[in-house]
Amino acid sequence: MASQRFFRPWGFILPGIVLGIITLVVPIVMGFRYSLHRIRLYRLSDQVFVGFQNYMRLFDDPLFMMSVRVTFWFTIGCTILAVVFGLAIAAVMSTRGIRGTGAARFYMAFYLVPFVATQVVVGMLGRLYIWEPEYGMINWIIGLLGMDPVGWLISADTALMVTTITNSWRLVPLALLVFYAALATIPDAIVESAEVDGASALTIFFRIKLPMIRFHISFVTLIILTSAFREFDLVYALSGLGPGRSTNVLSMLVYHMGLSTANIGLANAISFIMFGIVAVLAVVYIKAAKLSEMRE
Amino acid sequence: MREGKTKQRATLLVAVATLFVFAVSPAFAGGAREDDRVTIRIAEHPGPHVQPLEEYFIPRYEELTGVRIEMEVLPPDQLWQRMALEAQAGSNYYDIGYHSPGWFGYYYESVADLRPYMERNNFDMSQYSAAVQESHMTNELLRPGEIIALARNPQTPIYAYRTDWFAHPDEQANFRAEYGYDLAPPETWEQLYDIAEFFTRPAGATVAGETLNEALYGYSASISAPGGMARAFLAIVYSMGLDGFDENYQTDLDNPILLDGVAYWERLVENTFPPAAATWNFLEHLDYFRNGRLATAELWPEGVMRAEDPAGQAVGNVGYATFPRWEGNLADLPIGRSFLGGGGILMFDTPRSEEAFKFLQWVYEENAVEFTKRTAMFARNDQFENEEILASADFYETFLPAFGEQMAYGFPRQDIAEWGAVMYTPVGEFAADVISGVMTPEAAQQRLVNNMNTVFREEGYID
Amino acid sequence: MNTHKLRKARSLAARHAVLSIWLLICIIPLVTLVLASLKPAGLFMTIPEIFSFSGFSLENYGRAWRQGNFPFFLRNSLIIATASLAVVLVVCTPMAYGITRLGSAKMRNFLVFSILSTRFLPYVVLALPMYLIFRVVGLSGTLFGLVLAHLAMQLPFMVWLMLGFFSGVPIEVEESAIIDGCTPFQTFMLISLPMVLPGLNAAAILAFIISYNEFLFAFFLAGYNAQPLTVGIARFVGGGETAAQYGVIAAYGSMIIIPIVVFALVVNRYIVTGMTQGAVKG
Repeated sequence: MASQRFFRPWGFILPGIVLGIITLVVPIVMGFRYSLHRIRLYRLSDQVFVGFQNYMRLFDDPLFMMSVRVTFWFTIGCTILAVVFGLAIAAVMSTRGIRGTGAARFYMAFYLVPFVATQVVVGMLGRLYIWEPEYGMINWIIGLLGMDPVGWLISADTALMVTTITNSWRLVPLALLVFYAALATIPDAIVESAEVDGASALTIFFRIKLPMIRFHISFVTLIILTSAFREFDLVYALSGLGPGRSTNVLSMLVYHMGLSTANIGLANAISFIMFGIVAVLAVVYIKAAKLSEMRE
Repeated sequence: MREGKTKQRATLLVAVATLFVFAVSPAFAGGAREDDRVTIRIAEHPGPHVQPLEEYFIPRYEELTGVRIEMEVLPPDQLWQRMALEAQAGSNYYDIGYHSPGWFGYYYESVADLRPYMERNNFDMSQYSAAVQESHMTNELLRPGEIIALARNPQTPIYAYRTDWFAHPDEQANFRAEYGYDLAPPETWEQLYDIAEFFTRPAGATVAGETLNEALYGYSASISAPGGMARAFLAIVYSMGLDGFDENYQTDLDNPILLDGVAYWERLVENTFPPAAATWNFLEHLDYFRNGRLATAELWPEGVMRAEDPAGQAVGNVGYATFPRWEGNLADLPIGRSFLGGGGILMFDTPRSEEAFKFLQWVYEENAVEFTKRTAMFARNDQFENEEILASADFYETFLPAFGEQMAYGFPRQDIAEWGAVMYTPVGEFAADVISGVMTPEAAQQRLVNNMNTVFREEGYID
Repeated sequence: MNTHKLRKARSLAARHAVLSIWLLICIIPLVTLVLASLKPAGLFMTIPEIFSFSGFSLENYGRAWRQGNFPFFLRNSLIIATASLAVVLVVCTPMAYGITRLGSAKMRNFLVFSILSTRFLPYVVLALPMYLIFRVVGLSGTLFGLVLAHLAMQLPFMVWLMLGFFSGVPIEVEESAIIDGCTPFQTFMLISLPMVLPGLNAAAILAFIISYNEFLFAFFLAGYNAQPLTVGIARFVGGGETAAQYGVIAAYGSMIIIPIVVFALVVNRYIVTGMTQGAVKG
């Protein structure tokens, strides 16, 4: 991009900035303000300033710390599953003979389905038809394999895992798409010369291809990380708080604190902590973006 | 290149066309709705009243008056949250809402006073007993001197059991051999546990001489956290003689007896409830009962038709009893008790309130008998005393006495706006957290007490 | 040579097998939903019963349509999604264009940074304060308020996405247009916009899909009048499903999910473009 410009484009930018301030900056600032107040759902106008008391109460509460742990494992689990599966399938799809063919385009169209499917419906579908302990598909399959049915969503040991898997199913397409696009641009010549040297397909993938798309991997990782971190729709419909709060991710906790226990101030404190966590991730993303720009 | 462009255009066209179809189709669907009939909107709780309202009362009323009625049925937790959000937003959306005394505090400022409507329309209040008026139709603390709702089904849960299995000689003999006393409806919660444990059997075992295709469970309630769990576990809390807090806002939940209660409850849930009970909200366990997969059950009286479903296996063989005594309870209660639940119907202050009241009066006063015949929901004297109703189903003969006896002990909830935030949700969480091992019983009790004291302190009820 | 060819064919078949298995994993859950919705109401069904191709019935659809007030929620969903799409076209596109054409690198970097840092925001961070703010300014429960909330979700992502497309447009073309006497607005409309048309399609389609699927904002902010389909179906969450309701939920879910999936399949190329571009860089 040349730095010399020939007109002042503020007319194009300003409407967006104004709307951005109204819809993003104001709620964030007000959210912080509310988090310093005592506000109850049944008397919203009655707001009393309490300083950082809400935050202090959170850090004293073992259930909040538990929710942080649940969110951590949920986020990490989704990221690893989505990136690994996305990478594996993209690797297969980008091999010679499949890459760029009509078959590849056909596959890709359907691989998008989990991503565009309405999350709330996916959650209910998962709860009623896929993971349901008596009639569900998964228990039917493991029954065919001669194993005992598992409680999945109604057992505290497995609910988080099930929720993570279901959400990953939805996120894989994102990783898959980007990795496929990146892998498909690697010139054949590079791969062929390695093959002549006797390298196996696995070696080529890990030693040559993977390093070439490492920036794509880091971007996708961050996007999936933040996307899983903020997930609410699917968790709400699939497992709610989960048995024994096992799927009580922070987004759910905010909802639960704000509505079920009617403590809006405390709920805002939790959401502001989430904002802090994401701000750190965003800075990391920007650093990575700068780094990749320098490389290219 | 050129070919690519055409293809691109074609796809774009398809995209635009799809969007267009998307955007236009509901215009047709919605077109028929635009006329100037009065529309009354109702937010309702699930229950036996839904189908009769939907299929009988509402269509008739619409035909009679030309008023349109839209009823929306929401799951319990979503229902009060939605009503609270709409009321706080001042949206005037719902004209009529479901009334639970425990939720009233969340939207009490937007609720209409029914007294002037009743006076204008000659509504006969004397059909409601003083106790019902006090517990379900007024709130002297938040809306003094007003009538805030019509009671529809004030109720407190009772105990239901399979009479055919209890009476079976094999079962009786085995039970006596194992527990040393006769198999009969329990007198103490420990006996309730024994019976529940006795009937919990795997698939392939027999009950009353018949082989079970599926596992049989001993006892159940619907215990999803926090709402369902609260509704079920409060029976233990109140049976132990605890009130939650007294008139000076001093809590009694710090009493160590609560730990005994939750230990008992944990044992009962883990050993005798179907595992899926943790996902059920209100009356779903009665489906198990109806289908012969549950021997005894908590029964909120509005579930009686579900238990006695003519298509089920339990119909005609359901026995009813009061909840058992908690031995060593703090209030010397001779039987168990839970809170006085169930509810009524309230009106929000909207421009359509006059019309809304007429509908309420039509269903719940003019058609009170017909309503009860179809729903088994009782609130008024003319419903309790109507021979036609009592003759309309066999189960009333055994069900109503147990129901009446239990009602005498129902615990009326305190009138404060914060009841839900200090009792309902936190008590449900307390039991769920202990059972799932998230917290030790002591820590969970501490949290429960701290929460109550914090809220009371914040509201200025205590220092 | 022959064995080599055979091995190659085998390897190709194996790879297709892997990809087909993944294809099944992607679509079988939805197929289950649709098949279940087509079975008679009032039965709990095992998987083989769901997948037996017999005894179809549209009973559940009738019930879902009437009981669930489907047309009403559908109208709201489409209004919200279409409005979001319009916002993307009218606000986000010019904004992205303007940013790439900013003279000051400092200003440009600041704006890009702001957009990126709001892009990952958890929506619940915005939804709760919005609920309280809307109450004060009288937007509670309205469709307009909900569209504003969706804007918070769309704006950073869509501007970021379009930035990538516009920075690929060579500035020289625009310069010659200006010299020929075009105003900046004409240059934007006649020269730059047509060059990023595929990107614009992608952004508009993604905006529509994202808004159509959105649940959290609607759940917190929409009054009944403004509720979209996602909130419409959520009333079945925690309602104590009975056998009768299972089928209705499946029908309701199918009616929500099938149109959007079919739409996505038709325009999948644009979604691929948009998602790839949006994920990587601006």
